[in-house]
Amino acid sequence: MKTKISIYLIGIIALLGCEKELDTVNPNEISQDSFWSSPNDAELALAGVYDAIQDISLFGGRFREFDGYGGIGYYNWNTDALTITEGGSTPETNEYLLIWLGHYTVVNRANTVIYNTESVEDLSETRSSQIIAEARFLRALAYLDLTFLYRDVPLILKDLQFSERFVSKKAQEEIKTAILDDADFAAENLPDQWSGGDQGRVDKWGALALKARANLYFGNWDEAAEAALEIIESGKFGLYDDFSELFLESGQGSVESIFAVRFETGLGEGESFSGTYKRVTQGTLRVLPEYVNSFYCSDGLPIDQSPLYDPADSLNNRDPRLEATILHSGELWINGNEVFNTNSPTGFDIQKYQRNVLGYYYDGPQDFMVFRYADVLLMRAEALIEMNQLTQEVYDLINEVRQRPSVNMPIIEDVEGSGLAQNQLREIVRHERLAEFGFEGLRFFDIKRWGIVQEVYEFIKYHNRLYDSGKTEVWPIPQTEVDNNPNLEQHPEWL
Amino acid sequence: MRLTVFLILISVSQVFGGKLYSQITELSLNLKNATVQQVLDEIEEQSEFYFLYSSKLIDINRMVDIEVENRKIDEILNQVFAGTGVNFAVMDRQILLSPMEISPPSSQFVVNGKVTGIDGVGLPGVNISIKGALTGVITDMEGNYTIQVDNPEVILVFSYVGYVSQEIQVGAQQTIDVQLLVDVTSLDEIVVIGYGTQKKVNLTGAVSDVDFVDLANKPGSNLLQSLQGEVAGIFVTSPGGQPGVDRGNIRIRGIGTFDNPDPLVIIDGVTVDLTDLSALNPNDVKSVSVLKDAASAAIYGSRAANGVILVTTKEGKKGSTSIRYDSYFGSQQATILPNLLNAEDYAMLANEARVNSGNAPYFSSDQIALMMNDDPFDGFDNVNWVNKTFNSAPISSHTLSFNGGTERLSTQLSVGYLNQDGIMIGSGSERFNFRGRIDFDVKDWFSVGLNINGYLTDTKNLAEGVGGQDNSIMRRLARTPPSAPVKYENGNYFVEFEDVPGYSTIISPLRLASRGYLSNEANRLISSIYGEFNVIEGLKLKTQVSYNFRNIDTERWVDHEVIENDDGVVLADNGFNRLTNTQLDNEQYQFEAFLTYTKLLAENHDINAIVGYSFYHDQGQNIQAYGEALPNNKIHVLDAATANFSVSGSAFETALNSVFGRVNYAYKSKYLVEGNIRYDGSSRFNKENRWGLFPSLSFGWRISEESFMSSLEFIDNLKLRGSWGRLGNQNINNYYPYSQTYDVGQNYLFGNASNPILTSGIAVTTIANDAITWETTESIDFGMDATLLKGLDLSFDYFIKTTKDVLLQLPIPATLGDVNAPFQNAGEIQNKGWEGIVNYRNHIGQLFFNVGFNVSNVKNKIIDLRGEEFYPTNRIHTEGEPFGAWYGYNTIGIFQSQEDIDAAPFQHAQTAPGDIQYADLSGPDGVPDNVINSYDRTIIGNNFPEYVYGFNADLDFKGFDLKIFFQGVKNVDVYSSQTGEHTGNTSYVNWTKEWLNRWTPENPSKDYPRLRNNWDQNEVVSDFWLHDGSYLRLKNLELGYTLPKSITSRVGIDMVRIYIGGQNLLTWTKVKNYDPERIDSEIRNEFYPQLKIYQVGINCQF
Repeated sequence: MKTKISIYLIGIIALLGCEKELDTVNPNEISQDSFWSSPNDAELALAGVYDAIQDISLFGGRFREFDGYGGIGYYNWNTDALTITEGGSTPETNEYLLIWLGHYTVVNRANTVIYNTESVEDLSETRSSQIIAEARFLRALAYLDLTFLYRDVPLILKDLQFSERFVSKKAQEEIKTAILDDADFAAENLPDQWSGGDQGRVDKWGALALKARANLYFGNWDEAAEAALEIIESGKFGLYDDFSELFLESGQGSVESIFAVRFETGLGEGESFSGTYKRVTQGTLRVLPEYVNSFYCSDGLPIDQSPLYDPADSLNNRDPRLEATILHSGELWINGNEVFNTNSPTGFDIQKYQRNVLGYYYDGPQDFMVFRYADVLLMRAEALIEMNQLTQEVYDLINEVRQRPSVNMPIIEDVEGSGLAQNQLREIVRHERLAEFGFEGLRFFDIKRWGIVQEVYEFIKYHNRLYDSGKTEVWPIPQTEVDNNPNLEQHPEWL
Repeated sequence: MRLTVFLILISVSQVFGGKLYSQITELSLNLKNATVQQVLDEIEEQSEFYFLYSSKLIDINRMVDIEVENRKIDEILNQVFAGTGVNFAVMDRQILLSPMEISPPSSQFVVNGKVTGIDGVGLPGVNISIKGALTGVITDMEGNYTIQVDNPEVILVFSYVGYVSQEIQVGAQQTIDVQLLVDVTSLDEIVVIGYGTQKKVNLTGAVSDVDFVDLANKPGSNLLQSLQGEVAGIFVTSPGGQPGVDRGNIRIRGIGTFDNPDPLVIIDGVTVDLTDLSALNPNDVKSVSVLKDAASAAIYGSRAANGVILVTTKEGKKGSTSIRYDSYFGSQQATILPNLLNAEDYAMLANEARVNSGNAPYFSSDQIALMMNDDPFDGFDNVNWVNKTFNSAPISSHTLSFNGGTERLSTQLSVGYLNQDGIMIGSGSERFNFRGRIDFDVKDWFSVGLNINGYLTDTKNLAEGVGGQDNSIMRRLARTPPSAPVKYENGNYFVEFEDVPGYSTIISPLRLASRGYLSNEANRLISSIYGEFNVIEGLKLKTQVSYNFRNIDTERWVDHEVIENDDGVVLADNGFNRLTNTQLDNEQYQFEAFLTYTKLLAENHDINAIVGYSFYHDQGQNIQAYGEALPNNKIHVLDAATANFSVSGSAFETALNSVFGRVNYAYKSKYLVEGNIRYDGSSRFNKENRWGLFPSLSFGWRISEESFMSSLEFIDNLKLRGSWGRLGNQNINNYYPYSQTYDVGQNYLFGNASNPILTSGIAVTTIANDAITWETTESIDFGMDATLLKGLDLSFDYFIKTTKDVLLQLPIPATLGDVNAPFQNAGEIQNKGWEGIVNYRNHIGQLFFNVGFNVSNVKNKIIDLRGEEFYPTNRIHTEGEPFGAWYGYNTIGIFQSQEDIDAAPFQHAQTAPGDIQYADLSGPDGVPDNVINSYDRTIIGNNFPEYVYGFNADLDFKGFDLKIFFQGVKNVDVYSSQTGEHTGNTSYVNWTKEWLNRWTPENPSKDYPRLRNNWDQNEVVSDFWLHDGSYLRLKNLELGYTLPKSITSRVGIDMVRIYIGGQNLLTWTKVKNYDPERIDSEIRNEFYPQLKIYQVGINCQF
């Protein structure tokens, strides 16, 4: 009996000794081996690239607050950004890494799509090149920020294998070429417009806007003007009448929006910049009084020249864009009729993209415009001015922006006059950008390319801002990047 | 005289058959001119019989001839002892030999009494002999005896296998109750090892065992932490004394892996995890063995590289029944709490930090006056948040156990309840343990058993945890200004200073704790069933199937918080209340079967062999659901949520398939050889890299058994041992590291702007490495064990442990994007060290004492990282240096003048007197460049202690027992910054009192730098913030008294012991304000404080 049972048991044990139970499959994720086989796979991967630009280090958070570096706001809370603007940062300051990392996520995800999409069978040639074009647009968008913030950075244009991870820096010139190539490819391969469920993808005009911006940043005035003109001539875009509403949910997808990053509440796709919470804005960035003062009076004159300026009621009779750009104590804002309760030391908060309903800080629904038509108009104007083509078109472009129905500021001819010199018009277009684009994340790039960072920083008296020559303009390679990549060298300014 | 003796053997799990054994077993003997002892030995060799006798009472050197064939034991013994006055009683396999006649009743008086163990339970079968005479008696089943003696000068000798013998002069006593102590140094001691047990003297590997007969008197809630200082070679770190969340980490002989350095934990043959070890009821545990070297651990192969902890629980005792109740009540408080500034001092320092940074001061003198007046509702107050956050808290524990058995069936059942309130608001835990064990000898050749161990824990925690997050309580503790009132007059928590810019969001610890919680209910079942067969003589087959289950339900709740000030203005409104429910299910099953073969081949050649098979499977899944906007703050079910629902879930599965074997050979118990092997396959690796072979070989030489040593009588045992072996580790926290996957959920929104469509997206979020395989640890150990003078135990081990192919998640450039780095078999880490143990046990009259000391030293070095360096927070892993050493700048001191700054290497553009001066060690070209930058960072301290030690003294005197246990570590550094220790970089943060001595122009301090806002330079990682974390701690002190039997037996109680005691009562350390004992990765002072506990308790048995 016992021998039988024992033999039986030993037999069972011997049978159990097989290997198949060791073959487990990850139930949570999609295996790479089976991917890139159907058209939908390429679509999924492309959505993953768009997802990356929603990141908090990019349009999901940082860019709304980026103008702190541009000198129109300051970081009231003790953040890395405050340390940077006060000159106390080091390459270890985490902000430098976060923004770097967010952009390279876009680059790598885009590269995966660009490299693999061509091999997908059953994908039409048109859609295939569109997908690649969308990805290249997003890649160029990321590189434009990267090279403008960090100057020389690693340039990755392939589906980088893990073994190739130690990439060295490339000179800005090479990065510029890659950005312009991507923008050109995107402009050539993207459709005029998307419809239905595809709305919100970048189209040809978004690519051209990027092309205009990149060329403008790099000083290729001719190409910048050309690309902007193409958008203007398409006739597809215009200025949205209500400047204030343009930055609310109700202004999303307007005729002015050329490309916006999309956000929505409750779907795990929210942003974290628009919250108004316990009647105050949740941002860390506060509007500087110097910025408030820079808005002209409604007669088109600076406050120190205009008779309309009343220091006792300083917000009265001003460029209407001021009221639309900032919130001030006592303003009716909550639900459109309740008093806003600022806790800003300057007394001012940002209004653009700010929710006027109380709601939790994160998971906001507000889309963020990367390119809007007013920018295209002013980019072309600026390019023409820099090319010294001081034609009536320049006046018309700027006037169009000034004359938006809800803004309705006097035209150049009526205030500054006509037949102006290049440097006069240059100042006019620069001031127009300042008034038009406050807190849209463009200011730091503008003052950098205009070479006036030091001037702007030293003008600020309200807070302890420090201009640190070279370091303020060119951000360091994050310290962990230098630590983790033997082929990467720190910029000389930061050594 | 008829004696009924049931012998309880220590630590031996033996399969007992019925009386049938003696009736069916037939033996053949043919011995000429042999001693009685030789005959008995031969019988023991041939059969499972064993003899119990006292050589003082039985003449075993008498010569006999015997020649029998196929005779039953009775017949043989009748022949051997015919006419010698020796009586024998056969009980199952045990045979008790006793003199037929007790000494004649010529004595003048009778002495009686009871012999008990330390637990007060009567010991049956104890020899009581009269010194120098051949007469004696044996105790009965309850441990009672009666002996007649001639005169008061007679000395009685109480002796019992496995216990320390005692000699007592009768004197005038008529009743002599004796308590025998377990002889832990006994050469017969049995130690639990992988898949079996072994006599300690025959061990060739490095195994430490802790007998919980001793530890049961150390009332702690956490078994894992009870091991700290008890076992040489292990280092336990504790996350603090948070009830239910105090698991801690344990490192056996250093650290050899980057990912999961937890040892393998096995309870009664069932693979469990470290959490189970800390949640087990210490009263249910009989012994713990720690397998430290490859020789002892290789039988567990690929999971043994971090060491193995084997827990054996108590089993039922045959032939007796008992009920036992163990309980204690205690009061807990923090060992130390930070001494933070009061409001006035705080305001002064906060203002100073602002002014030093060129900003306006925060507080006016009027406001400071408001802080220090007695009105709590004038907008300012003077609050000690530490006192508000911590209180002394009760702890109580109750365990009721039932033990008993018949000849074939034995049972142990117990229930335990632990109720531990937290000393911190919002924390606390309850635990309910239950256990049942049945061992059933169905047939002589077949036995089965069932073992169930379960626990339920209910832990209350803060919604955002104790530390590590901005809204965690330890951070709020220091980040709430003491100048902030607790509440408004209307009862709402205070939120903002009206006229102080920047102070708009006060989240005090009390506000934080009041607005949410994280509750955690864990249910755990560990169950197994076994069957054991005697296939043929010497060959046994044991199979065990186990099934374990764990379910953890967590509920995180955040109130909808609306706070109005006294003017009715809403200052805080977080919009919605929020509820997250998470459920984790995890089940493991394990099947093991192994054959054990034991044979004495020829005279003096002892062979033991095991061959077995094991399959282990672990799978789990978790589901999380979230919702917001419930109707009120009282309803906490997701059904009531109305907004922002989200659900998520994931699953995992892992399996391990193994065969293993062991051969053990001993020649004359003098030369010992052992070999182990395990062949493991793991589902975590792909087919090509899945299987690994893990062998070990060890040798022992018991020099004391050599004839040339026989003259050295003071040496009872002396053994040298050496071992080599290879172990594996697969325990990376990733179940599918080899397969490259795309992660779903990388979604975006397309479609109409006002009504977007959620569009699925995927992306690589973790990079895979398909070449990944085992980490392999090679370990060499040389050891020495000695027992001298019958009570002095010495043990010493030296080891080298080298782990190759260490799985590293090498840091990857961020240019790869926001992806997790893959694991690579890239590193090599070495741990070298030694362990020494001294223990001395003796008695002076009735005073029994046992003193012990153990110390271990580990030197850890990273040998190879493929040239990489990487940087866990504030630390570095780099070649040639210890694992995770603290890394940062060396500091020289504090600049006292501008001239000093000008003369020093360039520090920072804004450096001023009072700032920390860093040392210029290097530069881009590898030489000092007169500039302080990242090239100047260096190793600044140890993260792991060089020495870990413990010493204990146990004393017993006439019913009183005293236990003193110290534990300490030496040469370790702790990092502390920001929380209470900072230069003002972050507003809100309060300072510890020492900061009153910061640098100011008037007070040129050398200890604390000047204050400054918004500036990192004084806060960068440097040795300025590193402190010597060595400590020596009175871990446990306990004084107990066992009531005399004469009293307790009248009310039918076998034993009652009451005690008072305490834990962590005294600490010697240089660390101020915070406890030096902390988890090794802690860099802020944000762990839950360690506990000092005063307790009273009772142990009793019926």
